[in-house]
Amino acid sequence: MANDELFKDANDIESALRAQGFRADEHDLKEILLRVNGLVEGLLALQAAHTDLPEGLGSYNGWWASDSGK
Amino acid sequence: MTLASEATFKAAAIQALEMREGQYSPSDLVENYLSRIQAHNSSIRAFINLDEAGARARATQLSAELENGVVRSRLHGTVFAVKDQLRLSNLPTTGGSATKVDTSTLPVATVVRRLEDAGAILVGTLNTHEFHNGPTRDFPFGRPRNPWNLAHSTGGSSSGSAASVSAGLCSFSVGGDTGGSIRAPAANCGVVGLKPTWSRVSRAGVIPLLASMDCIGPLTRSVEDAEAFLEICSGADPADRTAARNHYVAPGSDLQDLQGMTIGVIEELIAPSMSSAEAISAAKEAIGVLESMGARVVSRSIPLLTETRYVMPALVSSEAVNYHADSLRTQYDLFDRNTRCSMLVGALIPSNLVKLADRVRASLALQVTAALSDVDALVGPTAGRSAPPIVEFEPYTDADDIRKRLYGVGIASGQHTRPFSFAGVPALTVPCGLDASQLPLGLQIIGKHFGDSTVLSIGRAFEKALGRTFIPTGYS
Repeated sequence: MANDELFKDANDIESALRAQGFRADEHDLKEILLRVNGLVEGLLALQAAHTDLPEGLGSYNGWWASDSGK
Repeated sequence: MTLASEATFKAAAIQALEMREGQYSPSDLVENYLSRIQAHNSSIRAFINLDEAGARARATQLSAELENGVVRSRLHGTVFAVKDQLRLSNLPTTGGSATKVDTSTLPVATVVRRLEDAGAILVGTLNTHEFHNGPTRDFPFGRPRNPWNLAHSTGGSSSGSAASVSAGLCSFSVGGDTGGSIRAPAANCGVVGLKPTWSRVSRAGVIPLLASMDCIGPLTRSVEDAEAFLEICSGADPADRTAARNHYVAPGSDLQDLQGMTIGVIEELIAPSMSSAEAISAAKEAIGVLESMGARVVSRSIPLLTETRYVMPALVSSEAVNYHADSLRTQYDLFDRNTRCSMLVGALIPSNLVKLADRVRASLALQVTAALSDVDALVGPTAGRSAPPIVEFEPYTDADDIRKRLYGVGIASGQHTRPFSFAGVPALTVPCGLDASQLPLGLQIIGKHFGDSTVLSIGRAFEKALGRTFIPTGYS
């Protein structure tokens, strides 16, 4: 799945899960479809709204990378 | 002379003091709590498993030590229970799940070992949202209920940890907090809850949710007890290479006032869109107490605060699906529906968006750090409202519905606690009042990295100035 694409339907979800050895029942497939598409839409909106984000914790010189206080 | 039953709701440190004075013994205290668990657990479902024989044997040993003048710590002889997230030597670890959990690769939890070495007595394991990833819909060990009103939730995920302390079923408990899982239920149940600075307390032996944010901490009836926990449990641990090396040492004396201190009120958390009128009112009254003790109160902003709504599920699901992948493939039907749907999202979300979530998290952490830069602590309501009523889950209907109910912003969203988990800073909740329904509300006090002592000192001063105890009716 490309980053800006949403899953089309429950079958699309089922195929993607099956490719990784997972399964889900019909009820769950519908819920997962809503969850993952909602999350992708929300994150894409965040990306559009914030163009000045730092590089993430991997390079963030804050509490995670810091040895201060240890 | 005090009977152990009269000490039920006393702080653990007070109980330990009374036992040192010979007013009652650790065995008396264990029997008191075992009988109370027997009486109340069927309604509040705080405990999953008990080790009655082990607790009695341990109490006998610790009682004898006291008689011989041996005092291991300021929690010697007190009784504790542990969120079912930690591997123990004497009880199974379920993670609050009906699945068969393999904890064979985990060591016995360092936190439990340290508490036992300090003379605290483990009585059992406590109910939790499944694998700390709520909201669980069907609890395999019974739905935890709030002692203040059984029709209301405890919050989670350290549900049993909060309910057990609130209802007087143990001296204190241990919980886990990744995005608010100690603080939210503690606030809902009227007890103290501490998420220490990330890495301050070893996570060895803990089933993880999001390792870079998971914290283990105490739920107690006093701030002093939370501090005693930190003194005992902090410090380097060969079994957890991420554990901070410095050991927490409590300040020698209490703050007499807050003169010279600056407290920042997080303006987003006291906005009507984020917190109920009662939660805002209680927080403002609490802030007034801090001000009356001499603190200078200023306003501070964390503009990205609400964005945790997409960041948290992206990070948690992508990590949790990896940890539980084998179980999801082989025991799918035994998982709670919320847990398995939530985790399987992690198998589907594009990795670039997970990286984006991580960048937003880092940005938010920087905003928290900036807001703390020129104040001693930040404060705000721990939750947007008191404990919500327990309602039957209604399936999500469409994109709008899931946007509002699962990824929504506002009073019931849980965004009051997550930003401080993102930043890894210490955060304490202290009960600050009751709403019109007689349900507790909490004040959250947030400090700088490794500023746990400042947070605890302010909490103790506040608790003392407020001068109230929070005991639900029907349990005393």
